[in-house]
Amino acid sequence: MQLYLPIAEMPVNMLVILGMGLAVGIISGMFGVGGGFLLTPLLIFLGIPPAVAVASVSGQIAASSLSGTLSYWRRKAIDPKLAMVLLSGSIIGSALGVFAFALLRRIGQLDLFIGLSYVSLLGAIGMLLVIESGRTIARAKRSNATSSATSEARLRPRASRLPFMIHFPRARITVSALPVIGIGLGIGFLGSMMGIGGGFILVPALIYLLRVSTTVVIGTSSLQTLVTMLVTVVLHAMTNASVDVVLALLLMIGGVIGAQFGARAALSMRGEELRFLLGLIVLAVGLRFLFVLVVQPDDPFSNTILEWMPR
Amino acid sequence: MRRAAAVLLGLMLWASSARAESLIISLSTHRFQIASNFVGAEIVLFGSVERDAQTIGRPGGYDLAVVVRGPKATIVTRKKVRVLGLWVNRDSREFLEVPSTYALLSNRPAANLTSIDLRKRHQIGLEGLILLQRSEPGEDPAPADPFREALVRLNSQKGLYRENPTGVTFLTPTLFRANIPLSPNTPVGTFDVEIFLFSEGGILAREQTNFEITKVGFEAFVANSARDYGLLYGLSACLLALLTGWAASVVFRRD
Repeated sequence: MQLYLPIAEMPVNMLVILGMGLAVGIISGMFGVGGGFLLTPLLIFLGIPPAVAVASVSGQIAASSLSGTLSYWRRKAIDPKLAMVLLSGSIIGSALGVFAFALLRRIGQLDLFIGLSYVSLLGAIGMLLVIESGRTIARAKRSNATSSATSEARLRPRASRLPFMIHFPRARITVSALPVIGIGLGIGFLGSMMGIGGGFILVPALIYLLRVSTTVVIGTSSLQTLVTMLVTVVLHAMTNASVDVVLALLLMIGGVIGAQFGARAALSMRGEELRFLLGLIVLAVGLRFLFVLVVQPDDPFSNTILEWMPR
Repeated sequence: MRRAAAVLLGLMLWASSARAESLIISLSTHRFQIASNFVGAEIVLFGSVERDAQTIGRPGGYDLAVVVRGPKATIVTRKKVRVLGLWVNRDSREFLEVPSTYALLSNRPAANLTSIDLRKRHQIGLEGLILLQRSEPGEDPAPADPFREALVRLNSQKGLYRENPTGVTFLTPTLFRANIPLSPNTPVGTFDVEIFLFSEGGILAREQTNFEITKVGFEAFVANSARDYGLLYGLSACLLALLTGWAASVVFRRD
C-alpha cells in the first residue's frame, strides 16, 4: 500500500511505516523509553531525508509520551516543579539544537555529527545498562540474599555546594538549579538534533546525578519529554518546514498500539532482565552507526540540494 | 506602405522555404498533479515532422531527441575521506543552477545523433550536459573531474538523470511518440521540454514546450501550509500528537 508523503516528497509503503511504529512501540512500552533512538535511524535507512525523519519522529514521541504522562499524573508520580526547572533548560537547548541542525546540514557535517552522537551516547548508555544489569543478574543467581544497602551518604546529591538551591518535595531532593537546567539543556539539544526524546539519558541522569526519588523519575521524565518534543515540533516546522504530518500520524498510530503490547509483555519480566535486553538493543544501534562511520563507504560521494532556483 | 508589405511577404516566403522541416508536438498533459497514490508516472509526447513541397528528400531518414529538464537547483557534491579512522565529508563542489532532473529520449544513442560539439551547444545527453561549478580563484575545474562524474552517477542511480536511446518511437517515417518518465521521487515545479529533429548529424528543426508538476488536494494543502504557515502548521502537528496520545490513553486505560 503505497502512500505519498507530502513533505518528504516520496511514496512509502504505509504498512512498512505502521509496522516500524508498532515494533518500536513494543520496545518503548516494554522499557519505558520513547524509542526515538530506534525510529529515527530506521526512517533515515528507508530513504526519508534526515531533517524530515528527525522532525516527524518528534511528533510521534510527543504522542507516545502523552499517554504515559497522563497515567503517571493520575498516580501523582510526577514532580511538576522539577519538570518546570528541567524544561527551562531543555526548551533553550531544543532551540539551539534546531539551529545547529540547519547549520550542520548546510556545511555537510550533519551525518557525521549525528553518527558520532549516536555512537558515543548509545555506546555509553548501552554499556552501563548491560554491565549494571548483568552484575545484578549474576549476583541474584549466586545468592538470593545479601541485598547491598546503599549508604545514606552516597544518596546525597553531589551538587550541593552550588548556588540557587531549590527544594523539590516530591522528588525528595534539595539541589542547585544549575545542574538541573544543565541536564535539561543537554537533553533538549540532543533531542532536537538527533530525533530522540532522551528518556534513556534523562532517567539515569535523574537517578544517578540528582538522586531523584525513583517513584517520580519516569513520570517526570515523560512530562519533560512531552513538552520538549512539542516545542521541537513547532521549532522544526518554523525553521525547516520539515514536519511531515502524514508520516508522523502513521508512526503515532503504530507506536501507541505497540506500546500497549510492550507494556503487557514487560509485566512478566524482571527489571534487570529488561534493562539487560534494552542495553543490548541500544548497543546494537550504536554499533551500526559506528560501522557506517568506520567502514569504507560504497560510494564516497554524495549529493545535497542546497536551494531551489526561483522561476 | 505597399512596398513594405511586399518586402515582408518576400521575407516570409524566403523564411518558409529555408525552413525545410518543422515540428508539430503535443503533450498528453501540461499540468501533472501528484495525489496521495503517486508512485511515478509517464507523460506522453506525440509529434509529427511537417514537410512541404520544397522539402528535399532525406535519404538518411530522421533522428529525434527529446530533452526534459526539471526545476533548477544548487546542488553540492561532497566526497568522504578517511580522517582518524572515520569517513568524513571533506572536499566538496557546488554546482550552480543545474537541472534537478534530466532526461534524454531519442531513437538512437546520443553519440550517434550528432557531434559532441553540437550536443554540448544544445545540452543534448548527459555527456553534453553543462554543469556549471562554483570554483575558487586559482582553482581549475578539470573537464573530466570526479565531482561532475559523481553528480551525474548518483542522480542516474536515483533515476533523476537518464538517457533512453529507445525512448522515441517512430510510428510512421514522420510521426513519433516519446514517453517522458516521472520518477517517484520527482521534484515539483516546471519542466522544460526541447525537441530536436536531426538528419545525418545536422539539426533540421527544434521545438519547445513545458509541463508543470504540482501537488493537489490534501498533499498540496499540507505542503503549502508547511511552507507558508510554519507556526500554525507546527501547532496543528502538536494538536494531532496530543489527540492521538490522549485517544490511546482512553482506549487502553487500565487503571
